[in-house]
Amino acid sequence: MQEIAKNNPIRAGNTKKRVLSAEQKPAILQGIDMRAFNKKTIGRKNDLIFYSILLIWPILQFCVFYIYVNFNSFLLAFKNIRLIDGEYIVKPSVKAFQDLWELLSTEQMKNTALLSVLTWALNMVTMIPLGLLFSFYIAKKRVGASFFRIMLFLPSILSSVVMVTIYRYFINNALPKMLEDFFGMENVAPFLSRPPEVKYLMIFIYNMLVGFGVSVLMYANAMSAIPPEITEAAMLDGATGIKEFFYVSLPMVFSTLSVFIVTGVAGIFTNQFNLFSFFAGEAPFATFGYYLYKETVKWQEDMSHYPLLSALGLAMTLIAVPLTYAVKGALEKFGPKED
Amino acid sequence: MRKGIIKFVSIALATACSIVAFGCRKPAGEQVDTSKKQLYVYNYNGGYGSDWLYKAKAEYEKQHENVQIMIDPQKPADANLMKSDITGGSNQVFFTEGQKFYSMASKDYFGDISEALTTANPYDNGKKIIDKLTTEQKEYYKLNGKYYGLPHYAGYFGLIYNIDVFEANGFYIAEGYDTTVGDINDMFTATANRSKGPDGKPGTSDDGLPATYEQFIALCDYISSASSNIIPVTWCGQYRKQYVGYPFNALVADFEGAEAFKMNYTMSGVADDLGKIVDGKFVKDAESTTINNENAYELARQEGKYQALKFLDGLTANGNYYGGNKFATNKDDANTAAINRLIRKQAAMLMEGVWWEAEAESGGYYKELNKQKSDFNMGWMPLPKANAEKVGQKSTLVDHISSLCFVRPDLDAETKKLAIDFIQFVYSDKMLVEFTKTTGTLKAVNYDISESDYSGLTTFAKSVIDFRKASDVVYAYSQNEIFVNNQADFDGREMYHSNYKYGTSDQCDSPVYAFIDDRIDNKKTPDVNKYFSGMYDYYSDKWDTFLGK
Repeated sequence: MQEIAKNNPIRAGNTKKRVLSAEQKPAILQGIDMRAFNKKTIGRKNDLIFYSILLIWPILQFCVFYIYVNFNSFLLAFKNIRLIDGEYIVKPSVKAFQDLWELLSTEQMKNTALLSVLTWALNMVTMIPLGLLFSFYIAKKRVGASFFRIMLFLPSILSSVVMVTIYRYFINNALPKMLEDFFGMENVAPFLSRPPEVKYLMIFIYNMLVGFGVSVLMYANAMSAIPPEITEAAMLDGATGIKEFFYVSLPMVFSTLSVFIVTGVAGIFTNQFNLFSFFAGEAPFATFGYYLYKETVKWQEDMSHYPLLSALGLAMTLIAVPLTYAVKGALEKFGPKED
Repeated sequence: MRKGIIKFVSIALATACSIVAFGCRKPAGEQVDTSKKQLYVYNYNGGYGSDWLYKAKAEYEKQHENVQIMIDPQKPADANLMKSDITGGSNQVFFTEGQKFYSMASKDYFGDISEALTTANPYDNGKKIIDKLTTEQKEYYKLNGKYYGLPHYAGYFGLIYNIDVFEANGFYIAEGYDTTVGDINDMFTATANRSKGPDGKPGTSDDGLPATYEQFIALCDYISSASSNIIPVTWCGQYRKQYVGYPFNALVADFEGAEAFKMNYTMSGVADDLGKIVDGKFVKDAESTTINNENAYELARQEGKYQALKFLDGLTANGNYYGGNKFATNKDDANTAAINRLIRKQAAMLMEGVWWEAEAESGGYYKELNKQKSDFNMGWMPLPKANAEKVGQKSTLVDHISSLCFVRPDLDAETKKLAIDFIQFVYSDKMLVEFTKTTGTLKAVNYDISESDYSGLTTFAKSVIDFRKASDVVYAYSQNEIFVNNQADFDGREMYHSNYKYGTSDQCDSPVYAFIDDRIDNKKTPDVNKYFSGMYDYYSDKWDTFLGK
């Protein structure tokens, strides 16, 4: 090492020796401090290695589970697969789309579409406003803000099976017992034993309870990042808490909010509403996400049914992509601006 | 202080993550003995448990000191295995259920185990495993002249009854009663003068049990009126499509008989009890119909399906018969809750599978009552017949469970030899009997149980064995092209779709929803005739999809 260092004008000797004289430098490096330059280069190399290692896994995952899977799914939609005499016969075909047309014209699928949109719409009108209000409360560091932050985020780090079990027990056993003991009601039936509308409401409430975690964290962080001078100026101008929320906080976090709205639109076709966790394959109603999941599980290994499911996925993408871009465009055009 | 707490929580979380991450790599428990050759065995740890396999391991290791059997008991939410589950882990031999064998074998998921089946079994006095299989089993597990799988355990759904409850309350049907005259109380007895039961023979174990659907409904009526604390029939509410759907399928099979019911899987044969609804009644076709791939949807018109719908309609007509009124909880409770109702004498009968005793034991439900499995007096109830004409007809069971034993396809020669040897060991008569003694259930192959082994079984296990001996069994599979391309639609729960208005949908996935949910949730009286006709409409409409056209 010492030998290398001796021969290296930068590493060896004192500062004077390490810095090349102006005459020694090539024309292109005139005026550049080579010591700083080399340090930067080594630093960049290390950074590059670090970031490469950091990103290689998610990129690989993206390649396999997004690009490959979707590409394969795309190809599957244009195939006809049949198991005959122990061999899978695969032919190019558009039969899956003909079957899809038939499938989508059934009442069952119309109901599924309706429920998917309804679920999304209810999410929009309840989860987002409530999430923003919770976040505002937390960002303003009011009483118990840290507690609420943890409690709202807790469901996101616990297994959904655990959460569903706790919630199921609560609404089927604890809540009826409480209604009987404290309100004198008689023979209160468990809430998941009731008609589908009640079940839907119960599942919706569950999704609300567990769905705040990430959004509240993001909104609250965005609100906390608002420069205090802005809020102070608003206060001096006589803004109340409500006005501060609507005229300062909301516009300042709108970019974060719009991400959730846009991804929510894309989720109309993928959100399985935790139905599988509650009912396995026997839910009394379905969203598109649940339907696709349930059918994929049902037809596992029955490859002749894959093309139809792929065609359904493709059709949903064809609707979701323009819709998502339209909503994104509308939010950018009509949404409040930070300035 | 705060930093200390954060540090502590961080370390605790990191430790927990590490345990989860690394704990998943290998089956927990037993250490690898490097001086021995290991054989890794996967076991689906469902209703039948893993105790039988631990016993087999102990016995095999005793005979082969240089071998260590490593057991991996698993109970994934979905029993279905994917190729990555088979070849991605360390397991080499698999005992599981709910597999689509033919599709999987066609995709080279399994190794060839012909040697295990066709050569003399050294653990069984030279008997061959293949000789323990039925003709349809031999055909199904063979692909391109080689065997890639073996049936594992037998799985039947049906009715279980609490003998103590029946005897204490006199729920047996008396001989010579007449439903059209007299008092309902005269129809029932505790011990003396019991009727002949579904087999139509006096002096057999089914004496006094309901022989016809009519008697069964009368029994439900009697139980619900005689005791406010006993539900006549109970089942798992949460998965009612399964726990009522499979017994419904069993009723159809029992009515049709093995040959006629098998046509639903083979799409071949002659159907002589097809019919349609005329003036509100089932009217049989004047001529029989030859069934083939093109017209197998006609089987939706089998009389057994109509009769089973009538039975379900009768059973669910009164909420008191199944606790729909008293115990609204039934609609969302687990199968273990239903099992508990039976053993705690809150229910007289239970719709379940033959493996329920093992589940009750592993769940600790006997212990909760300070009792053991052998303290309970339960029996397998033969399904009642549709009418008096059918009484005495041989019963038919449906083995719906698609259990499977196989090896992974990429075993080296030495491990394969060991795997074959272990399979032969497990399928020797001695170990098959040991399986029955441990689980109280049967393996889905033919073997005899000696008197002394039989006498040590629980009352329930004995009743299952007796009933199995006296019945035909239909295995829910075939190599027919329509079946193998649409297997999920031929599952016992899924075979009875109908173009029947249910809720806001124009189709109904199961009679269970039309006859239970619609009644309770929508206060709607189901229509047997419409559901039956709707089944034909559904399958005739969809048949091109089944054919892949």
